Amino acid sequence: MKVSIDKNFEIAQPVSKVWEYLLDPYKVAECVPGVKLTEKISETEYKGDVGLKLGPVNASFNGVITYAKVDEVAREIHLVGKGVDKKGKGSVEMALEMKLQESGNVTMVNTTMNVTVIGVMAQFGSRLISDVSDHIFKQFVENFQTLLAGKEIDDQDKQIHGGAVAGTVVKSITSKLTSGVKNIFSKKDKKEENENE
Amino acid sequence: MIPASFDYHRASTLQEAFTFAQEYGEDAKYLAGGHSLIPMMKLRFSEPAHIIDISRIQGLKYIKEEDGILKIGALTTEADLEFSDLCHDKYPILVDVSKLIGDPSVRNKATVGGNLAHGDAANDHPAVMLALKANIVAEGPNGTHNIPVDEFFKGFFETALEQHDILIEIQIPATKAGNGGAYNKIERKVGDYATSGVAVNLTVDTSDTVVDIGIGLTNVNPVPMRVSRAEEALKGNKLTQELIEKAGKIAGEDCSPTADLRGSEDYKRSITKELTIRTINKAWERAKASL
Amino acid sequence: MEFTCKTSKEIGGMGHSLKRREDDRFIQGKGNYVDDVKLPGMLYMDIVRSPYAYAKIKSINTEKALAIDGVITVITGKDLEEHNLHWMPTFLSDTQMVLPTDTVMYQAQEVACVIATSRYIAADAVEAVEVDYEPMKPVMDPHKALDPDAPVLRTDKEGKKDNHIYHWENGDREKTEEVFKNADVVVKEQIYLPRIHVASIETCGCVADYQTATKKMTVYMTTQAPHAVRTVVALVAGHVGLSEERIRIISPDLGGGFGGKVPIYPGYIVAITATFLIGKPVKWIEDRTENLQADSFARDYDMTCELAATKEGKIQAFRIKTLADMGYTDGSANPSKYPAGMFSICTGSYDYSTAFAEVDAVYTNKPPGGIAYRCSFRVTEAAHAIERMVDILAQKIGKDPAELRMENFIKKDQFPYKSALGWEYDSGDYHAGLEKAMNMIGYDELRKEQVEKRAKGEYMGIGICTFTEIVGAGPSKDFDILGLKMFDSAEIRVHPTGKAIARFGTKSQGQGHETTYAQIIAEELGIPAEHITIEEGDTDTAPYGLGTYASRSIATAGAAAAIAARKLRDKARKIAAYLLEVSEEDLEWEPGKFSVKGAPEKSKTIQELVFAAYTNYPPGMEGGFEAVHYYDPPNLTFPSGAYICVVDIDGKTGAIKVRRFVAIDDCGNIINPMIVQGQIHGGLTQGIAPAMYEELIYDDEGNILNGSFMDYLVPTAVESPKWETDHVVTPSPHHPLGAKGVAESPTVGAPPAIVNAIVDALSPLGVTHVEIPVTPYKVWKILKEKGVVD
Ligand SMILES: Cc1cc2nc3c(=O)[nH]c(=O)nc-3n(C[C@H](O)[C@H](O)[C@H](O)COP(=O)(O)OP(=O)(O)OC[C@H]3O[C@@H](n4cnc5c(N)ncnc54)[C@H](O)[C@@H]3O)c2cc1C
Repeated sequence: MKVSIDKNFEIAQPVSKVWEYLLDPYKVAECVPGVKLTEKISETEYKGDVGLKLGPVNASFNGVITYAKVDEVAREIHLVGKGVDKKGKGSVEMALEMKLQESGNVTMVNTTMNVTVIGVMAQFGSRLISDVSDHIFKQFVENFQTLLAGKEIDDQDKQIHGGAVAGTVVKSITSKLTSGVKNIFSKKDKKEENENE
Repeated sequence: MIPASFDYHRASTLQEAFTFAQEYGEDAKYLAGGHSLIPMMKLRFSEPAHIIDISRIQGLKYIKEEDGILKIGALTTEADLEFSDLCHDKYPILVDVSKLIGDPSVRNKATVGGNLAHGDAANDHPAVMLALKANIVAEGPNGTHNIPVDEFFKGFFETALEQHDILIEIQIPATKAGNGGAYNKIERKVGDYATSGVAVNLTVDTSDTVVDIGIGLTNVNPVPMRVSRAEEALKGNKLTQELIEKAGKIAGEDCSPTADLRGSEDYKRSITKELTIRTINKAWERAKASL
Repeated sequence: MEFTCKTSKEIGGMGHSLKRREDDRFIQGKGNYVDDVKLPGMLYMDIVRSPYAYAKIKSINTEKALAIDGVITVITGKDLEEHNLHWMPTFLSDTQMVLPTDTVMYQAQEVACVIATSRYIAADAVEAVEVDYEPMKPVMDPHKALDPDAPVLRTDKEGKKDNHIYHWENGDREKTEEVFKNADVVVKEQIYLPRIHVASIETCGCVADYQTATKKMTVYMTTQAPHAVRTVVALVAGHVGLSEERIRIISPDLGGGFGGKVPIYPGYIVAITATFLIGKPVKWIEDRTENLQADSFARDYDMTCELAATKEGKIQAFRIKTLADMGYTDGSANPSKYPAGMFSICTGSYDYSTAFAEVDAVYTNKPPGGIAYRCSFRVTEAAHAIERMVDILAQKIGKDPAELRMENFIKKDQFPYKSALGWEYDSGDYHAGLEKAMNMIGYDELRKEQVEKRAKGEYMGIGICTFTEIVGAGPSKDFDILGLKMFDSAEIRVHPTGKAIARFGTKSQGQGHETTYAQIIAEELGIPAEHITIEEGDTDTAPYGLGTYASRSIATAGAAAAIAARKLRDKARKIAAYLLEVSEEDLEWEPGKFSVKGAPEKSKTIQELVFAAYTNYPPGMEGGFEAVHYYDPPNLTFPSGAYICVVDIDGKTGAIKVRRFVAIDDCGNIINPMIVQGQIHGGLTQGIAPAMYEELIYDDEGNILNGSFMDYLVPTAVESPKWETDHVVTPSPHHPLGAKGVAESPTVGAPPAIVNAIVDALSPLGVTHVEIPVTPYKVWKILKEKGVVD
């Protein structure tokens, strides 16, 4: 199952600082709920533990984060996080592509997040995956802003938690986010291929 | 379909349940009807090391009116609601919802408290309780506290209950003349979770002016949601089909459904609109009949 | 009912609605299913399954699993390879991994098997087996499977350069082309029958019990074809000492089969291997999700159909081109000599002489299969294609679909009828069937109502399906399983007191054989049905037969029972002549006794004659009263039906309500009307299932998105309308009882009737076709596209 989320957001910090933070895997990991780096494999690869807790649901993964692309000139960075379920139930991949742009004192961040879920979670969790992905992403952005502002991330915010969900409840069509679930329905019906975009 | 191993503890009083809960902390889960928790355990999505069975605690299974409040004990089952004379006579919305939950064998076990405490936006009672403006009573080792339903649902499977809290009672303002409620949902087949569900609780006066209104939605938002804008649009105004249509339109706009096997976002918005219109009409019919 | 009973109610022969005798134990919860089998010292097996649809196995580490107390062993593909048991044949001469040694080919594929002292320990150990996969991009779309750059999936097959499995064709390509070129009207549609699952309530499983002392292997197994399984196991495992006389397959009570219990799944083979190696009984029972996700699917035919006709609507030719997605291997449970089974029945109930059908099958990264889900090998697909196309033609030329059918039907006096693709239809009266259905439902009034509703902007549809089936596999010219001819058998033993036991090579999964077979014998011998015990499913005791599927039991074993009983009646006649001291020709038979012509007081009951067979038989005659018959049918049988369905559609939400459904079936002579009705009710419900609810959905990553009953939507009594059923009877001329087989007709006939009704309802919007399952969501999308809803 694939979910792609496109989002643009602003950070009230200069591009150089945002860039510097993004290059630091430990800082990035700190902002993603449930992620903890444990080992550096190479300059571009890091091992980590990923824990996901949603109410009574628990899942833990062996993760690897890779810097797949770092283009200093274009200010573009591609991060791929892969997690393999510790009990053999499947895997999750999160590919994050970010492009930074300076605009006055703020940095515009254009992001695409592609989440691919394989295995039991895709089989049973399909109704939750896009909401949860959306939510993790939102929490990542908030944490990242907190960190850039020189503040400590709350322990609670290092886990997926409810606050942000409740806070974003009204996604009315006027302020509709450009998020969408890739079509998962009839493979034959070309007409509907893009209807959810 | 075989859960991981766990220890089973049966509590016969709330106090006993709290003692177990405090002893086992994070590793423990309360078990009521078990029809949400056990499926998750069988799939090994959830692997609590300790199960504290609260289903046999005495005194938490009742449906009664007291001091202008309808009180429902947390361990009341869906079947209890479905066959309650009190509900049939005065709170048909509760009969509507219980009949639409799972199948008879699910309803014999599943509890209303568990349905809310599970914190799943796909469950049907949350929307109903939002519409009914319920008050949720929780008890923990340090005593009881009230949680207005609007503050109860926090996130995916997450509620305002504190770690050791047990939801003990749901309180709903008693019905009066001019009040009528209804719940309906669109499902792919009987027993399915809602593709969209709408709960409406409406009070009108003799001139059909809306005195009070609650509208809650099921499974078209990451958390159970109240359609405040639609409620505002109706409140204080004389009900007309145009106005109802408008409320439906708002419900379709303000919800935030996700595309899944049940259908696209647009589809869910569209049927939420239509279902809202139909459910308001049903509630209105009942409200008028009670005048 | 046109059929009149020849026997009294007490005897209970053909035509009596005897209550199903098997129900006594089922209703009391006293059935004996495989999971009820518990043997001393029994071990439990659970299976590690692949989360990936396509991946290399880099390593399997079983250390942690083996360290768990109570885990006996973990079996991998490499272990099986040591005994050369890691591959097995499928029914259609393809091959299939038992357990993989290097690559997994579909999600939920078996990767390793844990054997432990309890079911719970086995489940824990499954999670502790560490498999390191290297995932690859799976091929999920059968159309893309044939792209030149698609990875070749079956690298195990030497020299294989693509994912194409076979091309099959039937008919005259050029002549068909010619007719199409000159036709007034040509209609064309792409019709997809999605992948579905039988979803029987009992999943699959076995208890395999190898006794080291006697070297005998007993397997209690959920199988529709125990004898075939025994032979296959002997062929696969003969080299390790399991020769056929040492293998006993017992198929106890089955909780539904529908074709899903014909294939041999890897779990069985591993359990059999495990008991063989360990020397203790091993039980393996799938859970629901394993069953849905890994066991054989049905359908998955993508058909491009064309119909040529005159402008008046006389059908001239049919052409169909099909892409079949077989998944990882061709696991078709199809014993016919044609890879696409009976698909060439696709010319339907209509009289025309030109047709061309072709099928290309491909491999993808989905579970293997291609079973005939309550259908005689691709008949459902064929009937859907022609019945949709006939409606599309009617719509195109503006003719009532009932009228169009009436004008094109094969006429009653044309039978036996040679179809355009070479089948010889045995009998039928299609006009009578449709007329009866139209009268029963009030067709003309419904059409009037529809006009009124349309004027008000309401969506009401009437759908017809008049199908012809081809069942009863089958004549050995058309069928075999690994060379075994497709006869079936009956063995009748009548005890001295006139009570009997009869055994068969078939295996009931809910069809009521214990009742109907007894009725057949009662019909022929006059022994009351209740005095006849029926047994099936034990290869040590039952005569050889190929099992139950394809509506073949009555067509083959039922015929065998009648003929075996007639052999016994002939013997009884000889004994009667001896006892009554008359010649055989002077005797007259009425059910239950022989009497002397013209002297009815001189008679012998069948019970007396049987007793004499043990006590006082003519000199030179063999004692005892037993007979056996193996029946290889001369032809298939061709049941037919006329179904009409009425739907109402909610123009705002797309909700579909099946208001009425009338089913007129012609299954030839009826043995037990109540059982036939039960079969039709169940089959119609399984027809509404693919029409409106069921489909196995995969994403591009290879995940099955609805591999549990939470999302795989099996309809219930709530979704079913009140079925209205009746019959016309045209006995099969070549079957000894004139019977044709019935259980699959409704599954074949219901989906097109429903879809035709839905399309009819939406036709004012210009809709000509909708893919099944037609869900409210799909209808809503149409309503939206047409601007009916916003
Ligand atoms: C086949 C099937 C179909 C279903 N269909 C529907 C449906 O259509 N609509 C619907 O709304 N629901 C449906 N359900 C869910 C069912 O209603 C659940 O039983 C209900 O959601 C939970 O109630 P329970 O008593 O079973 O809770 P449990 O499963 O015992 O508990 C659920 C969670 O709540 C906690 N909990 C339970 N009670 C309390 C309490 N008093 N205080 C604090 N915490 C508590 C538990 O610790 C656990 O985390 C279905 C379930 C099944 C199995």
